[in-house]
Amino acid sequence: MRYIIIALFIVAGLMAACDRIEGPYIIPHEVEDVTVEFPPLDPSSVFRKLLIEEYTGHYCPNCPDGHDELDRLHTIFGDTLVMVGIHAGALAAPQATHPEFSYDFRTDVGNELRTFFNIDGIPVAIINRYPSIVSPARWQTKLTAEDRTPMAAIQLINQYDASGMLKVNAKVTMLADYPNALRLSLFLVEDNVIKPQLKHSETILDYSHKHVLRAGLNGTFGDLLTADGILQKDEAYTYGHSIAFAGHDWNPDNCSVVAILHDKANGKVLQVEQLRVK
Amino acid sequence: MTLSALPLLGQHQFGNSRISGDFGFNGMYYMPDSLIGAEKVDSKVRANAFINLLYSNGGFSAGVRYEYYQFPLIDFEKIQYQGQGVRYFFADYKNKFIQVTAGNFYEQFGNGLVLRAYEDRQLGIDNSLLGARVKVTPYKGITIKGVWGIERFNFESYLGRRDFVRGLDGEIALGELIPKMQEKGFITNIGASFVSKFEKADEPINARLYPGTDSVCDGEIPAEKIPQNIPIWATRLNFGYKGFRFDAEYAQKMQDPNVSNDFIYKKGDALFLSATYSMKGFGVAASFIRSDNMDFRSQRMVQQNSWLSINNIPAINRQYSYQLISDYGFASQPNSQIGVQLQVNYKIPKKTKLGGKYGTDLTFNFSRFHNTDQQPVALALEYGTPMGTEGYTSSFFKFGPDLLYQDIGLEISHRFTKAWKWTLAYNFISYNLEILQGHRGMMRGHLVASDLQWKITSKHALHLDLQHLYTKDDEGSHVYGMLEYSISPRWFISIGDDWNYGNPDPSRRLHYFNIAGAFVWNTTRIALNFGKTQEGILCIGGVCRAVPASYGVGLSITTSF
Repeated sequence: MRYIIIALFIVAGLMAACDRIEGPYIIPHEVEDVTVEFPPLDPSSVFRKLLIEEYTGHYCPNCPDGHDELDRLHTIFGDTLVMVGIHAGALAAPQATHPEFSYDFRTDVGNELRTFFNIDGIPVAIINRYPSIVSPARWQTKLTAEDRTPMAAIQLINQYDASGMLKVNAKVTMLADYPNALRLSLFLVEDNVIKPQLKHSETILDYSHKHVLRAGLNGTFGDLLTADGILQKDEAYTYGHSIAFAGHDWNPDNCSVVAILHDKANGKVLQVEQLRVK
Repeated sequence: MTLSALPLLGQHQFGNSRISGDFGFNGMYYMPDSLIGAEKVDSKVRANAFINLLYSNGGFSAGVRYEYYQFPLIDFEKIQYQGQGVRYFFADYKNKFIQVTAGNFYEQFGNGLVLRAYEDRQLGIDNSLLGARVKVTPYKGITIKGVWGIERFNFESYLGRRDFVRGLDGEIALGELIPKMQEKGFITNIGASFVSKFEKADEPINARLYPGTDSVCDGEIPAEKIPQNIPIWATRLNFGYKGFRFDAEYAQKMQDPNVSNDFIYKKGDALFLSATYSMKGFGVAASFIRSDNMDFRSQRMVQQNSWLSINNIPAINRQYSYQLISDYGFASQPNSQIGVQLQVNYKIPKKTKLGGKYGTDLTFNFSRFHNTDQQPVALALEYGTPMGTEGYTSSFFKFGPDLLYQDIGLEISHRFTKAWKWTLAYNFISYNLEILQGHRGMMRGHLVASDLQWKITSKHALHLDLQHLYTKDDEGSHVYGMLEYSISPRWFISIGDDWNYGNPDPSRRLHYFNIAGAFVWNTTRIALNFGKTQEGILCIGGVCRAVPASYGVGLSITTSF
């Protein structure tokens, strides 16, 4: 009898340790229309901008060196350099033993990009999605070597309403033929996020974190342009997507949208654009 | 790569109390080398260090390990095994009926298909559980184990963790229950395991549906549709009679959507079979493994390295120590692998023409592994992604279209005299670079290896290791030579070079030399080496990690007391 009771307890315990989920498991979202009018485009005024995705972390002692290097590069490349700070990995996670580093900067998109590019040590960067991990000392060299021939233009119009809903309207216009399928990714980044940062052996409590990746509006690798992702020269594609600020600690005054047009197959970035939310 | 050695345990006794321990230091002075891709290391000197202390008194024991990996070897920094502190401590009591452990512990159920908490210091793996374990032997031949704990994740804090593991394992040794079976030479053990992990799910998982179509849209798996309690179970049988042994274990995992399986809801399963037969001068061993959707970790968003792996699907292929194929070691693929391994050993008898005075050992080996057959379910095809669906169906014994790894090998080992022994081996390796390493294509290579040992006197010995890998794939052909001189039991010194003479890029036809020496005194071993390491991978038992290119001087010290 004693063993039967024990066995029943064990079986009950095992049953309690199982979840069975019934489908459907996934809920699709609806696609949004674009209703805004974009101004006429002057192709001669289009610069091919550069994207640098910097992998960083608040508990990474050497990462401020990377931040400083980005500041310096901004003085060289100006607004033709679009910067995204991706906080991912163990050094970006909340540090339970150091309560001052309890803030969680990580995002699903950042985590997935880090895994995709196999990022280990930080600070490093991926430049124009070329799958080569670049340390800060080589950022300028790599950026300088990038092809700057304009292939496409991205126009953005952001609509932010009183309820905290942001609608991003994007228009991609091809300036040259391109044979491969293209995707458009929309990221939300925020400047001046005041949170602690480890800098070498010093903890700076009121560190201003810049261009912090907050969210991917349309996933990690964005959506295809058209059904097959291919556009010919002079063809255009419009795309809309919304995101709610409610429930997040993002400050819309400091946020901007980064739109990245990239090759579906090899990730190569053809154009990148940035526009403030407000 | 720096030298390392397994520590030997010594001990000190005070009355009934015993204190023992071991210490290990593995350091390296790094030098940049742009040719081989060895990057500049700002701190120049890096090291891993640890000390184990163990106290025991009768049935009671307690232990603690301090690890200092704050500025570790760059291999370990790459896998984020970085930090310092006491991350292993335990107290344990056992008698004939019960064993209880509190603190950190390692444990394995069966072959590890459902639970393997273990440590491999070379790979930078420590999946110990922090919690409690109870082992009970209610009757001779019956063992029941229960575990409950949080899995270690490098040097991350346990505080704030929202996941833990619990499990139960039972095994009956029929030979002990029924002595007559044992007397007649039968060994029969049967066992069953159950493990469940809990991980809080309170955020949705984003998805992309209908990619590449006009209907492309985002979607999400809502938090309430993400299982938090995920069970995995297994049953096993072990049978033996005289020279024959048979092992079998089948495991099944319930719904476990995670990043490694693209968040599908299909059940996972694994089957491991092994049969061996041996008699004097002859032995044969055959194994089969199939593993599908069996990557099982404490956290669903983790998929790199062996981080937070709860189970371990073993690699059953023959393991080699040849330098030139170390970069092509098969990494077990828990989510998709099916394969066989066959090894036949034959000893040509001594005092025959071919056997000579001491006999000749022949070993033939064949192994082949594919991915599993996977046919997408209709909903996955409609969505354009397996995410949030049952994923695929799979015919259980059907091999998938992609060859992962194949090895056909023959090894001949012959002792000519008491002083001379020679081993000659040939292997034809096919290795799927794309799936196993993320590079392009297949590597097909022929390896010929010669290992000559000359025992000059009872204390002095020479060892010459020559290898040639011929391949037109990946980094091309290599030739390797290593000469080692040892004066037992204190000294050894070696010099070796790996020349990548067939690299398709003439500027990368480089030499990777290594000079090493070691001194052993009682339980202390001090080793020094200087040389270059090619970027690649290190695999032990089917578990692999990346090895970055390095150049420098390594120092390794191990001692026990």
